[in-house]
Amino acid sequence: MRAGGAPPSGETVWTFSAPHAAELRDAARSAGLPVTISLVASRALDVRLQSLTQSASRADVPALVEIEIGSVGKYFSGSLADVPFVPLTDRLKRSGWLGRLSPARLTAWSKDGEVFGVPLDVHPVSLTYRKDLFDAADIDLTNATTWSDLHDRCLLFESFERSQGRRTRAMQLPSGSADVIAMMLQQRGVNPVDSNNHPQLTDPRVASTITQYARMVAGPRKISADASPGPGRWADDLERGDVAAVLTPDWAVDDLRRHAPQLAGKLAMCRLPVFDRSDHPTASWGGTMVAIPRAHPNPDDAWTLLKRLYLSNIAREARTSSNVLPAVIDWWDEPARLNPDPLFAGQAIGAAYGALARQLPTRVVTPFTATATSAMSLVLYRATAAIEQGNDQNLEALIASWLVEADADLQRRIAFANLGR
Amino acid sequence: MISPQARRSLTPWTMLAPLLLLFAAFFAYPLARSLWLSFHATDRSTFVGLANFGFLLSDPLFWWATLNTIFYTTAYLVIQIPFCLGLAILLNNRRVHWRSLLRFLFFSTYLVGPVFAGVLFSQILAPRDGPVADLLGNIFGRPIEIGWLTDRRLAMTSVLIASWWLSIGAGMVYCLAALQAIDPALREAASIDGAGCWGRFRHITLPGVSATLGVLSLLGAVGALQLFELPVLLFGGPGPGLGALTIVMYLFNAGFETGNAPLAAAVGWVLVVLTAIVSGSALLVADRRVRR
Repeated sequence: MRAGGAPPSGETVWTFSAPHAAELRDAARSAGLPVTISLVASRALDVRLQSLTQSASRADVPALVEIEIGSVGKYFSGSLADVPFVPLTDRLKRSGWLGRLSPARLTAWSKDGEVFGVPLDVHPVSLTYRKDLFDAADIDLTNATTWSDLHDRCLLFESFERSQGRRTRAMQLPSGSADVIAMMLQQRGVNPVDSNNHPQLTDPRVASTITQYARMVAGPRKISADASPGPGRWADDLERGDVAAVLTPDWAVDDLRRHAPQLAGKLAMCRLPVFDRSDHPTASWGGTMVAIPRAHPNPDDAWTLLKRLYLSNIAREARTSSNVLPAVIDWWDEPARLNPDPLFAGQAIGAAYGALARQLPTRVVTPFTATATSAMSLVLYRATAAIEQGNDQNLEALIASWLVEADADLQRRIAFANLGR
Repeated sequence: MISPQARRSLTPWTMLAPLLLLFAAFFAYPLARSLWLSFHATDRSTFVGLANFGFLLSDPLFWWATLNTIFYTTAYLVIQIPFCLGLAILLNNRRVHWRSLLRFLFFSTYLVGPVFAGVLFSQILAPRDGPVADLLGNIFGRPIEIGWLTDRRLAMTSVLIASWWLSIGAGMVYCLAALQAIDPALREAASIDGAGCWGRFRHITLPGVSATLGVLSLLGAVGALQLFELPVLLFGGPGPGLGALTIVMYLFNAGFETGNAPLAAAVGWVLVVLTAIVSGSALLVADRRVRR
């Protein structure tokens, strides 16, 4: 290790995100670090990392690499020694950072209790709605404590809209994917696959969640529309009044500012409704970690660089310009985050996200989480088809039986993937 | 010291060496490596024999992907080939004005490539404010919302529409070239002998372009079996309810989503066999026709 933690030079950082790359270049410039920031497409980054683990060459190994949460599972498929990143638990403990990072976020980047990446964000999800439209219908969404309450209020809202000759849908929800279902399950403390790689699809909460969701996106009690395709066009839907409420992780607020500035003063934000009292009023959506590739010849240098780029005052200042909450808990109360937000009629949404982030459920990501979510999408498809055919009675029992099949199939896939291990 | 005879025999190999090296490094080795990989477990070192292939054949998702791919390939060719030929016949007719411009316009869709087509059609087929929704709304006098990109039953249709838009113009150019190679004297002779439009088409045009149609079908089928970019661009994945899951997407998911490279390699080899069967059958049919 360099004496006194002097900044390493000539190192490279791989990131898949253009905004992250710009932020990192600024941070490196401010810190006087001669670091190369390489923007690498997410898939290409995966391929490059895989080839690094198989290559004996130590040339061109980046010091740091940013990994998106949807990609991380596959790196955790083998034993701890097979994970292609340097274990960071000890370093985080020794430097005092372990207690300062959101514990709910560390689980997603951990395997068997060992942390392999520093979370960069927490991405709590809230419900953003057109307060002007709901106020006109005399409906208060903040009182909707459960998803079922919210569903009923949205039905009332749509009925009001129809009476006014409009066809506004109450919510924007995907009808063909289980991404929101996975988020709702997080709220309920259910991960589709647990940290021991055991599928949890037969948990009764999965069936009840899919039942509730399927009725929101199909059939006579449908209250939702899919987002228009294209970057940021979901915000256009909200602006046009095609939909009146959307689920908004913190990163989505920047999209709203960019794509729908005309909504200033018309929006409000609230916590997510729950299923049971013990549920969390939020969940996380997306996420990124920064890790040190095991192939790097000098992990101590890489760790020093990580701290300078991501955990220093420079990083702290850089993060205040965005709505995205960092994973460092004591950075959530920056005065800049507590200011009233004109887009949300003066609501201090930074503070609101900070409060939600403190109640974030833990999220487990395994190599099979994406497969389990796909399986839930298929069950959702069957459920919505059943509802469309008027087969709504005993829906939950039907869904539970499909989930039993899906769970067995998932177990078969996991057993096959572990062949030879 | 190399003898002149040895030098003579070495010369061709020396000249071929760069090509052979490139062939070995970028074709033979990856191919052999993927075959080797397909007989191993996820850890890439434990030999598992035919287990990956056995898993595939027992996996309903793989069969779903295969059926989807075969459906797409068949529907693509059934529409593409007649449309290419019909358009070529139309734009080969001297009575049609602005033929060169029209030929260019139809061909130009091919120039933009699948990525542009994917992005374009994701906007055209947007359920509420896309041009198709607007058009239908104007026709029926009320908002018409069709889930082109969200309904499983329509997922593959959306991909097909984008594929046809992309490729029919290019197919037309092949057919046009074949039509222009037909001796006009043959058509004149047939007309003198009393053959009508249908007779001339059936006995002169069709045999004249059949080889080109064969090539188009073969290329179209091989391309369709490898369908990947369009569904990814339109749906960001296998589509609603896996409605646009294809074999290559299954391969991609196995290799890059779950990190099971040996299974992905096995899928690749199954696709090679399927492509060989389709190409072999097409070549056999063509060969029989030539012999006849």
